[in-house]
Amino acid sequence: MNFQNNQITTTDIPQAEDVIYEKLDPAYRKVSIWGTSILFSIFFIIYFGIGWVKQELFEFPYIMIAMILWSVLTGLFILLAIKGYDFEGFALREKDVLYKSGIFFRSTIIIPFSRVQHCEIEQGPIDRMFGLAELSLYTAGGSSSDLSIPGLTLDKANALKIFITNRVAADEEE
Amino acid sequence: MKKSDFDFSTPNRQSYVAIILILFKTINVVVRQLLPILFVILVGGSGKKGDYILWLVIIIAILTMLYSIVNFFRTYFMIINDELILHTGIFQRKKTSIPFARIQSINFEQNIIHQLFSVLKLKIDTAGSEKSEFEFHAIEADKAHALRDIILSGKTATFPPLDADIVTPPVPEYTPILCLSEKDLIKAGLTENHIKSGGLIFLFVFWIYQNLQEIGVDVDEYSENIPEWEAGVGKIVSLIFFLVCISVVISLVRSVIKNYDLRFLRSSHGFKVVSGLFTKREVSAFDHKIQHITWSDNLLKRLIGFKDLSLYQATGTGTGAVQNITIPGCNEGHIQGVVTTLFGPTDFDGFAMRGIDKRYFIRFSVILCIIMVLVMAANWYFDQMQNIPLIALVCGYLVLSRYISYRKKAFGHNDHLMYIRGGVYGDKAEVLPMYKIQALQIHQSPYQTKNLLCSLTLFTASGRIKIPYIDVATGNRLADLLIYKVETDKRKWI
Repeated sequence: MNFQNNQITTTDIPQAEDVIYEKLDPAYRKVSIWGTSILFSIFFIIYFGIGWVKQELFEFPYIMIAMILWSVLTGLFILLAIKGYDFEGFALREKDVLYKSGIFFRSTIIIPFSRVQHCEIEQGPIDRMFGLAELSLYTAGGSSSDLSIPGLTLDKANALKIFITNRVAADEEE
Repeated sequence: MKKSDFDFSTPNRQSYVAIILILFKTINVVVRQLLPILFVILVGGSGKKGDYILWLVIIIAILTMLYSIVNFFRTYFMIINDELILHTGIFQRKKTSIPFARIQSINFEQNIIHQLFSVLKLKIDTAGSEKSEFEFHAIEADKAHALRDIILSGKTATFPPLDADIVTPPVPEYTPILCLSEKDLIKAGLTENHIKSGGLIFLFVFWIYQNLQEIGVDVDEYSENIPEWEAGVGKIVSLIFFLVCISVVISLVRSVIKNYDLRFLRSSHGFKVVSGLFTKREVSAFDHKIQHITWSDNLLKRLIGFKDLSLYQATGTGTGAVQNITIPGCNEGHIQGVVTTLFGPTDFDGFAMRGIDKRYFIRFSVILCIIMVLVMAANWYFDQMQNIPLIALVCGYLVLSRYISYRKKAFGHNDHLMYIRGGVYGDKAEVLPMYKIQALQIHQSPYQTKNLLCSLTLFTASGRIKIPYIDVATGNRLADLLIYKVETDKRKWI
C-alpha cells in the first residue's frame, strides 16, 4: 500500500488569500442594472396601482415624499449594482471553488469539490437576454452554504459544470 | 426472536392496531382544535361562529380519518433483494424501493396505546434528497425488531430472500453508558431552564386569551369585574414565588415525561437512547452519521455537575433536516467516554485556546446603549419616566450577557478536531471533526474590515458553527487549515 503521511508545516498549507479571482462576464454588470431597474419599476407601478384606488397617494405631500424616496433608492441600488460587479469573483483551485462578493459586507465562501452534492445551471429571462447563466453548487450544509456564481456565459457555465462534476466523481473514486 | 417467524418476501401489512391509532389520533386532533371552543362553552358564551368551527373541524377530521384508514389497507411492505419495497397510495399507486444501503437509521416510538398492544411506530430515515422519511403507524414489536435486524445486517452481509431462515444476522449488542436513576431524573428535571417553562406558561395563557377573543368573548370585560388590588411588595413577592413554583413544577413534569427510564447505550458502531414515560422513544445514531457534538450546562446544573450532551446527526441530505439526540444528566466521565469513542483519546485541556476580539463586546454595547438612550429620551419627552429604570435594567442585562459571552467564547483545535467553547450563564462546548465540514465562509462587515477582523462560519450537515470577531489573519489561517484538512481526508463524511 502506498501510504503517505508527510509532515506539513503550516507555511505549506495553500492560502486562500493568494488566489487570483476571475471576474464575472462584463455583461453581468448590465444584467444587475437591468434587474434592479425592473424591480424598482415594479415598485413604481405598484404605487400607481394603489394610487388608482386610494386617490390621496397622488396628493401633494405623499407623492413628493414617495418620488424623492423612490429616486434616491433607485439611484443608490443601481450604483450598488454597478459597483458590486468589481467586488464579485470566483476562483477554482485543484480541490475547491471559491466565491467572493459584497461591497460593504464582504464574504468569501469556499466549497471543496468533495463536498458538492450536485450542481445546477440556471438562466433567468434577463440572463438570457445577455446570453449569461448562473451556476449553483449545493452542499449538505444547508441553503446558506450553497454557492452561486452568476454572470457566466452559458458555454463557460457548462464547461465549469462538467469540470466540477468530473472533479466530484474523481474525488469519489479515490 | 427468530427471523423465520416472519416472511418478508411476501407483502406485509401493518398491524391492525394502526386503525385504533388512527382513530385515537383523529379524536386527539379534534379535541385539541376544539379545546378553546369547549372552554368557551363551559364559560357560557356560545355563539353561532363557534358552532360552524365545531362542525368544520369534525368533518375535516372524519375525512382525514377515512383517508388514513383506506390508506392503511392500501399500504404494503416487503423485502426483495436487499431492498425494502413499499406500496402506497389510494388512487395513484406508488411503489417505492429503498436499498438497505441507503437507509440511515430506523427508530422506534411507543406511546401508551402502542405499549398496550405491544406494537411499535417505525420511522425509517434514508439518505435520499427528496422524501427522506417513511413512517409506519404500528408494526408488531417482534416483527419490527426482526425487520430492523434484517435491514441493518443486510447493510453488511448479502441476504438471500428465499432462504431467510439460513441467515442468522448478528443481533447488535448494547452496553449501557448511562442509566438515569429516579433520583438523577428528578435532579435533571429540577435543574432545567425554568425561565423557558415560565415562558411556555405565558404563551399558553396568551393562546387561550387570543382564542377567547377570536370567538367573541370579551375577556377584558370580565377582568374589569375583578376588584382592583393594591400592588404591595408582599403581594408581588408572593406572585413571583407562585410563578417560579409553577415553572419548576412544569419543567420537572416535562422532563420526567420525556426522560423517564432513560438509557444511553453503546452498540458496536453507534449509540442508542431509550426513554419516555408515556411514549417510549428509541433513537439511534451511527458513529459515522454524527457530525458534531455539544455539551452544555446552566448555573443550576453546574452545582451538581450535570451536563446535557447532544449528538447532532445529518438526515435527508440536502433537505437540511437535522436530527439530534440530547442526553441529560451526563457527567464529565460520560462525555469524555463518548468523545474517546467517537474521536479517540482527546485532552481538551491541552488545546491552545484563543479568545475573540474585544470589539465583539464593545461594538454591541455601544450600538445598544445609543439605541437605549434614544428610547429613554423618547420616554422622557413623552413624560413616561416610570419606564426609564426598566429600560436601563434591560440594557444592563444585555450588556452584561454580551460581556460574559465575549469572555467565554474561545476556540482551538488539534490536528483533527475543532473545539469551540462558549455560553452565557452556563458553559457550552462544541466539538467538530474537521473533515465533517461542508463549506466555509469568511465574512466581514464594514466595521470589521476597518478593524482587520472577520467572522468565520463552519457549515456542517448538522448545522453551522460561527466564530465571530477574530483577527483577519487568524481567520484566514484557520480557514486554510480547515479546508486543507477536509481536502486531504478521504473518509466519507456520512
